[in-house]
Amino acid sequence: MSEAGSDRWPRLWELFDAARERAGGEERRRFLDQICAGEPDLRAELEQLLVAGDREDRLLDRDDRSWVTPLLAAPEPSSDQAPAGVPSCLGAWRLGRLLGEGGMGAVWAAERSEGGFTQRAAIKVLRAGAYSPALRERFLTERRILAGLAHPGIAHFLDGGFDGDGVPWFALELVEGVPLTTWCRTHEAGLERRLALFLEVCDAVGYAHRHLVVHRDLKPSNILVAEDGRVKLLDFGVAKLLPAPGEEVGAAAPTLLRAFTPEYAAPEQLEGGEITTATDVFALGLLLFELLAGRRPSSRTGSAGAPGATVPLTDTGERPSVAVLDVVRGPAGRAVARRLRGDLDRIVARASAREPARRYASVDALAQDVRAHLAGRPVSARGDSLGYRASRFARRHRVAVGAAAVAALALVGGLGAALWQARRAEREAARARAQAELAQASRDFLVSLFSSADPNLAQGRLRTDREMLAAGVERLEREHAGRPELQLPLLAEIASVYLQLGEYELAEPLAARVLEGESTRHGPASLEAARARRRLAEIRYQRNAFAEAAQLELAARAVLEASDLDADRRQVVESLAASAKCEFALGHYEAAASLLERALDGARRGFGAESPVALHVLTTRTSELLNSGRMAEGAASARETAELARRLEGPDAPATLTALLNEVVAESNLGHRERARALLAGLAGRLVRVLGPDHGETLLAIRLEARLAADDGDFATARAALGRVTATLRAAGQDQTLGYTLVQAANLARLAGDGAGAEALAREAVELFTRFAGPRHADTAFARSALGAALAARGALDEAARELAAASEIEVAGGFAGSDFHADTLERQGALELRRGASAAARRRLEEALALRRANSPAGSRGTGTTLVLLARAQEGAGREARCRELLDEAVALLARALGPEHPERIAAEGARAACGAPGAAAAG
Amino acid sequence: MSDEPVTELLAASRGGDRGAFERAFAAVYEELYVLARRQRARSRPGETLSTTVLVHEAFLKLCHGRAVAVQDRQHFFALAARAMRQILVDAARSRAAGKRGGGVAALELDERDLPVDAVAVEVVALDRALEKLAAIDARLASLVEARFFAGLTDAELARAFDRNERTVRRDWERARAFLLRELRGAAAD
Repeated sequence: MSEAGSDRWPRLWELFDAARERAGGEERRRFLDQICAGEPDLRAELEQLLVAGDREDRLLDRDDRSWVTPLLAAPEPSSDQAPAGVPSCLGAWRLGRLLGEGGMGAVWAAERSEGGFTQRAAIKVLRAGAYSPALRERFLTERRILAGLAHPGIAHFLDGGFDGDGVPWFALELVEGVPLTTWCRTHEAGLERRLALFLEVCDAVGYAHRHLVVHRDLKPSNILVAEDGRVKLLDFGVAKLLPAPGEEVGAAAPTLLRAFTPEYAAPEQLEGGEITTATDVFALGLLLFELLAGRRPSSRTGSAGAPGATVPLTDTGERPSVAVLDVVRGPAGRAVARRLRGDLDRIVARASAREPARRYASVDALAQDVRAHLAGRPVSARGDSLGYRASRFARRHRVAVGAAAVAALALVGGLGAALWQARRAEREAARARAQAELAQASRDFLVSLFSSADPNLAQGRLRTDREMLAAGVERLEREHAGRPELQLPLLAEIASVYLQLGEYELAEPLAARVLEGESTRHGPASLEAARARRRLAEIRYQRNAFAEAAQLELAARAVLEASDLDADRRQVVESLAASAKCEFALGHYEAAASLLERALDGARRGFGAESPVALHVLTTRTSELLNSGRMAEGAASARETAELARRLEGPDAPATLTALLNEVVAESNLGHRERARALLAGLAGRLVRVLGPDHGETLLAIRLEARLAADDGDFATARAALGRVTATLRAAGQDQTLGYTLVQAANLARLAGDGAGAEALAREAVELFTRFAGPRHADTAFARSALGAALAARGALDEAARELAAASEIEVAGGFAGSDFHADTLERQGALELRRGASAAARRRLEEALALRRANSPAGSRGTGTTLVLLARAQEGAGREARCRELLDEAVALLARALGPEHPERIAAEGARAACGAPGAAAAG
Repeated sequence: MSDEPVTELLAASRGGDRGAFERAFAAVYEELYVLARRQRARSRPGETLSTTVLVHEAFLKLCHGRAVAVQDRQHFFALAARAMRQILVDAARSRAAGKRGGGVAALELDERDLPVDAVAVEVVALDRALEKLAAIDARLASLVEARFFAGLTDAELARAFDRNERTVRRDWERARAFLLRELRGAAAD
């Protein structure tokens, strides 16, 4: 076969390519004539190749790969050769090969011809030499029993008689088949097929029971699968006729002979107890175990016992779902184990219970449970579990678990089966989806516990809910330790709920555990681990570990980007947006902007420009721009977001209203008071209608109204509105928004001249943020800055300086050195230094603040105005009247836009400007 | 299966480490085999098992989605294709073993639905022809492995072999002609 001179191939291929360019026939022949002149060998070879290349091949040219499956499914050819038997005749039957030998006799293949019609049979002959009256009696009993049974699942009786020596025989339908378990193995039968066959066995056994026959020796070698794929029950050799109702107990087959197979015998058989139909139920339980697990229970794998051999009599509680792992290794085994866990384990346990009374009452009851399992219905064998567990859950958490929650709990419990049904049919991608569904279902379950009565009151039960979550975690650890596929998603969801509650310290270890678990289970670069990484990233972000969060997002994206599932592509977009948030927080605006660009691009390309995903990115962009104080861009972004939300979800949709609110925030921060007022008009009313009076967004609208009123100088109205908001939030136990509102109220009180009130409010905010966000959180710094200002207003300058310095340090360390609220702190520090007469220090500080203001709001904001006023004052006495005037001109212009004529800051600025004396200055306003 | 990360084995085997190649191959083979069996267990009658999906699944699993060098990626697909060939040829061989003699006649039938026995015989013959092809041009042989046994598309082949699609198609025509010539010759034996 060696292809000598393989260096001829390059040329050959080249000519082959060239010749193929020519259409067949004449043109190609001329081409060959030309290039192969004087090289007949070359030409011959080329022609062979060309002819071969023009042929079609049904296998090589197939586009589909349908040929692969049957090939892999093909059974290994088995080679059971029938040994030549001793030819003989019994009645009209000619004996063929020996089919098998048992304790009582031998079985031969046989046939008889009658009227040109050949019938085949299996003939069982009582074993010569083992002849005894007891055996003979039993043999005849079997013959009688079989003659009375007519069921497609039982090899039926054809004929019977005695040979010349008086040895009894009978002929049965010849079943050409293989033992059930062997058949399943060689055909690699799937679970459904196995269960279907098992049900056929049950059917046949049930039929026998109804005819008062107990088989007593059910085992794989007595249950054949015929060529037509149907099950046939053989060997009623130790079968027993039950006494018919009212009849006396007849002569039992002598159990002393142990005429049964120990590996499959029920305890009562081994112990000489009463034999009933429950004995067959037990054997069927063992058979089901073996069909499911691929091996017998380990307590039953001993050699067929001689009399007295010890076979463990007690049910060891071994589960098929565990045993199968010995047979099928690796991920495939784990997949099968998952399918067996639950219903099937329980069905086996119930059928093969040691006490006959604890077994299924009948074979039909056993079959019913298997059918129920196949249909996805609840199974009686688990009777005590579902409702019981649900009620236990409700009792343990003395909360009003509504009907919906119980249903959801049942869903979580029953999900194993549902998932299995789904998984069985689908491919790996579908498995991921199913897992997402599991996550969704368990999340729904948790969420439903939170909001079973009134979604808007959910926040009012936070304490109880937290306790319940803690109990949930504990319960997951305890009850689902061996079921990571259920445990991990549920832990993940609890982590997510903690996240929503702002319980970051509780959320973090859970999320880290989930990541670890998924990494172990599916590999550190699996999609599951990537999703876990994203959750942890969000928590780290909330805990201000922005760089780390960004790192986690990046790692998650590396995996998610390779997935083509929609859910994962969406995750990629969301991860980009989340990374942008991190970069914003770190002050890397360029990086953040470019990430957002990519996120938006990905959202638009993957899901459409007018898609919810694009809306999500726009919403994130808007809030990030606002959070980092980039108000002008934020306003534009909010407009775009509101526009898309309106088109996508309608004018009164929550997303639209939120975007409008954001636009109000931006515009009012920019000092565009009129525009803000116009946008806000009627918004609170719509929010009350859509989301309810206590909803966070509604409260935000009220806070914005308060702010606009305050900007007008109407502090009384503003403070009354904020008082209502804080009361609502306190009642709801809401932390973060309450903190922000308290800060706003503190600043308002300070402006209204109520330094003590301001201090009290600010202290409450500091305490709140320290407690739930941590002492080093930016929100805590935000509150401490307000406290500093309040203290300064009250005249406690030293304490004020300490608070402001602390706030400033946290802000810088936390990566907020470029934020507008850091500018607030700098401005407050400058004002304090000014009051203490440290003009030079104040100037430096205020210049720094001004630089930030200008960077964040190039067109100037209200904050720019207040900083300018202070900076102007810091110029006093330094011989810089011109610079002072310049600063005040700009400040007055900005504040006139941002604040009403009655506002003390505007009045002060205008006063200062007037005092400056002004060459050519126009009247302010 | 070896605990060594397949990515590292791939890199080492590309660097010429024969032992690493064997271990990587073993890992890929086992993974594909398990996947194939699982896939088969899941598929309903008539459902088609996609070898391409298997190869990609195996890749994702074995490399855990780690960043894999482009060359390693190519190397993996070549390995996976080789493994897929071995799995299918093994299956065909055991199937064909019991049918020796009777199967060849069935080959002449031109039917759309291939009987599995005929497929088995043809696959075994193809495997032999492929050996001969490998002797004259290993790259063409591995192209056949990747296309026929692993079911990669032209675009995927182009990426895996770092060629453009046209070249891949041209090479396929070459390999195909060679194999069909061999198969015809074998049938005539």
